[in-house]
Amino acid sequence: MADFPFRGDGHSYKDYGKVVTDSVATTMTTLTAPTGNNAKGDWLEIVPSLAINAKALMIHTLQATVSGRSYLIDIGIGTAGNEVVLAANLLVTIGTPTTSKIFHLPLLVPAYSRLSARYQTEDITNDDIRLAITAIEGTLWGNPSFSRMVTIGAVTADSGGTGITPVNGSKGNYAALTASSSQDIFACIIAFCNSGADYTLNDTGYDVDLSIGPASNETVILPDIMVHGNSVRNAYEPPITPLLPIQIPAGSRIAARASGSSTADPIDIVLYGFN
Amino acid sequence: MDWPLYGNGQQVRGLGVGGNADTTLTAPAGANAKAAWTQLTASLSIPGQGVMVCLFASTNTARTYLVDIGVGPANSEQVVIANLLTTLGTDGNYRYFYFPLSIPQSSRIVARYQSNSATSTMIVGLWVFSQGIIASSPYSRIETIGADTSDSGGTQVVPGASHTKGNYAVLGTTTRDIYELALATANSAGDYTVGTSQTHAYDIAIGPTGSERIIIPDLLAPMSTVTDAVSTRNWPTFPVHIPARTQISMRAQSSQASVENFDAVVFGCAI
Repeated sequence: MADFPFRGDGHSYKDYGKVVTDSVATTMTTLTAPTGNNAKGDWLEIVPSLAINAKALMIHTLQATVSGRSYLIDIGIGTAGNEVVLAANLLVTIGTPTTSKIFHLPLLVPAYSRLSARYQTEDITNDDIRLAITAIEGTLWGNPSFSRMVTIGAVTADSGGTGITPVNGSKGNYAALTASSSQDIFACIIAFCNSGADYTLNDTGYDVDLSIGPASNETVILPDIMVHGNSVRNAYEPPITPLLPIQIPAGSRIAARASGSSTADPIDIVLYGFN
Repeated sequence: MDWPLYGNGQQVRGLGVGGNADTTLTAPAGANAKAAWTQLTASLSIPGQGVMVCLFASTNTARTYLVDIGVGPANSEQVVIANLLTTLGTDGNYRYFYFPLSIPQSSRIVARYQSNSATSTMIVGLWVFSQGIIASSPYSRIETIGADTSDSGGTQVVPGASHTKGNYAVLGTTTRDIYELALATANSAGDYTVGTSQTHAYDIAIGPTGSERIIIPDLLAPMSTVTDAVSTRNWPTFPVHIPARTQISMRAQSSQASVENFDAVVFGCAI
């Protein structure tokens, strides 16, 4: 007979950053706006003291009012003034308003931890990004939680990711997310977003390859991830893949390429690895 | 530490994808009727311990869809993942699911779907992973709870207005012990116009009617007037342990006085 921890409080979910008094299309906390483009804003406390030993964090993000932005969001841990980045540069892009993204991060975070969030964006004009956190005390299919997350491919200079240029009808050239990964990776998620200031997308399907290996000798480890440029919401779908069982040793060059089904737009890509 | 990527111990196969010819499934003959199976691979070349599915409702607006994944020889297919729910408001819609499901090597893998409209288009991509995440073991069954094949949707949830929880909607009862739960939400069938942009907060609960206990609180999901659809499409799989014969319910609140209903289906991973 299996154990059923819900019946014994061994499995629980806790919410933080939810705002129930705002009737303007949101139930999340508005983060502190940066003072300049592509510069990190101040930390804003989301979790004063974590009530459980979390084995995963679910980060809800929402951009409610303006369009045509990309964001890099940091989740920090530590006391006020002493925050350390726990999850760096979560990539979120907004084609049209009222767009929600969710990152599921299988990270071990001790009870009583204080969690904060900050962000940067390419354009702070009328900016408005919101966030909430669900802490999860439980793991997926018996996996261990991970203690570190490494972000690969984020570009803080333009608050985006590494740009790949798909070719209509065939795979384009590889773009390296990193020349040499700094840590072992046991699982990963991949985020896609608009590239540069391109917030008017063609309605085009893409097949994205993720590869490892030196330039001109890449080996595809995840073939033909289906991505779609959506001309209504002017953003890419999916914004984030599920957590994937992809293992990559430290020191690997990681690269991506893509093909398009019709007129192609550039795509930014970031990989989040866990170890 | 072994690095199976370098020893062919970890492999991924994309089925029905690539070459700019992602697979369009055979269209059903009518509304709310399953179509014929479309083959994604004649013989899986690796043993599968995980499956990622991408659903793309591509060209026809205002539809809901239920997609089945099956295995087995022609005319003897068996459903292994039933009624994956997706919707299309005013634009194309990608939805990804990942299930740690075991599929034997050499299996023939197929897909089919139904829609609440007689005219519809569904593209499916499927990736099989030969190895799960460290120390993981795959499940052998996916149990679908809450799908409504009579309208190609899910169980309707009516949110409460202005930050007040609505009544619980019963999705169904588990028949096996469940260890993980995936969630799909979509427009309620026939309702493809969002009058007011709003955010919902979902509660998923277990227990009998009137004595529900929330196990996953306040999942946040906007609905947008721009897309006329539920904006959150990338729910992760949730770690849960739910015994067999447990009732699963869902309720929601809206940030607005004028609420938009939605449909929900959950998928339980079982041994």
